[in-house]
Amino acid sequence: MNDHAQYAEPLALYALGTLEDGQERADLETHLERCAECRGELELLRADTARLAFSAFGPMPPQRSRARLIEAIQAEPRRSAASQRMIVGVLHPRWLATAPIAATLMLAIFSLMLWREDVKLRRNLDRTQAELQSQKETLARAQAVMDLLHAPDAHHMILVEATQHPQPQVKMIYAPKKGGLLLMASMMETLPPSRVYELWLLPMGGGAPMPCGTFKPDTQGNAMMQHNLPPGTEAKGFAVTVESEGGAETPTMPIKMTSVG
Amino acid sequence: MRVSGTQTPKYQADEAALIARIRAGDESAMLGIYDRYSGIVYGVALRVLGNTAEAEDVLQEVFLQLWRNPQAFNAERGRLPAWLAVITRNRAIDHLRKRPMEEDVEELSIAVDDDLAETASQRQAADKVRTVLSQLPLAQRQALEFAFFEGMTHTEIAEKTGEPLGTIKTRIRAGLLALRKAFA
Repeated sequence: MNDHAQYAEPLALYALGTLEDGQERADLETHLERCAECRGELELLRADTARLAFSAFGPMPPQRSRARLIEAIQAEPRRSAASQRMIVGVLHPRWLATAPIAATLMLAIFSLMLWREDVKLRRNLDRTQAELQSQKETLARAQAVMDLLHAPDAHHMILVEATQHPQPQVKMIYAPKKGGLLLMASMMETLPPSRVYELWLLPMGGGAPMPCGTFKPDTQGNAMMQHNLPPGTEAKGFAVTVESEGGAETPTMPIKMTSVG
Repeated sequence: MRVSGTQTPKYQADEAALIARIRAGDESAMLGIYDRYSGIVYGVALRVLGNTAEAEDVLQEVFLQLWRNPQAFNAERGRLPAWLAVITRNRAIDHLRKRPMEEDVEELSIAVDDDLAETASQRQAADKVRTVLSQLPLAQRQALEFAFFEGMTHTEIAEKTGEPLGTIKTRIRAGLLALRKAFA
């Protein structure tokens, strides 16, 4: 360092990181670029500063700091698999020599298993697709019927004997097991704005009539209503009354229409 | 403590292996390093900052940066505890001076070749440094500690102590050389 005496003291400050910005620092950094001896001395001075740091050793961090670090590193993105593969290769070269044979065998077994699973899955898929197609066709037919019934330009007509005058008519389909009910009415008498028709189920075992929904015919006297009753409700018959808007809990006399047979 | 020699000591190979495992994402290796050296890192941070909460923050930053960028430490160019001690001190000074933090840890060459893997050897080294410091003239020790633990420039130290700039520079260098001599 004799030839570099002028840099000795600035170098110590530089090693400590406390040499101020300015010409002195700029000159030193330029010198360090071309002087290996001073770079070596800088490393030694940094070692001296590290020793100085050890004088602070004593108090230990609280246990929570370790837990905090674990949490922080687990929140970090994972290392690339490439670096891990590289390390495995270095540590286990013998094992890796037989690895290709074992891997090929494993791959063959695995492929056979996959093929069998694939055939099974394809069969299941074919069956599911057939069921789906069947359901689609059923749904399309039902939708076509519904579209026809709801079409605004649909003409609802009932043909009767030529000598008879047309009469109000209600056609009903009721499935007691499911409790599903569909009503189609035609040529019904027009009602005042606050009045509606209400359908009643007359229970098979007697008892009070059960309300089954209200409906209001359009200007041509046609109406359609769908209603659901508790499954298993057996009906002796049905009746229609005129009620206030919103319906009633008990029928108001007179009965306007009743089922036949 | 010895200055770096020609043979690779066991603890140097051990540190290199730990760093390689960290590079591969091995959390247990990271915790192994933490368990060994968190005392040095925390001690330095606490000495600089004088505040346990801030010292804990610096502790986290230093180890997290090592986890993120383990290649910043080169086992062939110094020992891990020395490197950790110096970068911790630098980070703590940045905190103290409210300077913006560097995203990465510094790649420093530090020519220390000491086996400080065990807590007992760390305590032994700390005791030895304290003894050397206690034997320095008070003004010299203060100049050294102002520069290292408080991050003061020689101008600031000169203003604080009322001593000439040249004297401060000389004292700082002489203090560092005294430490080196004691560990030679």
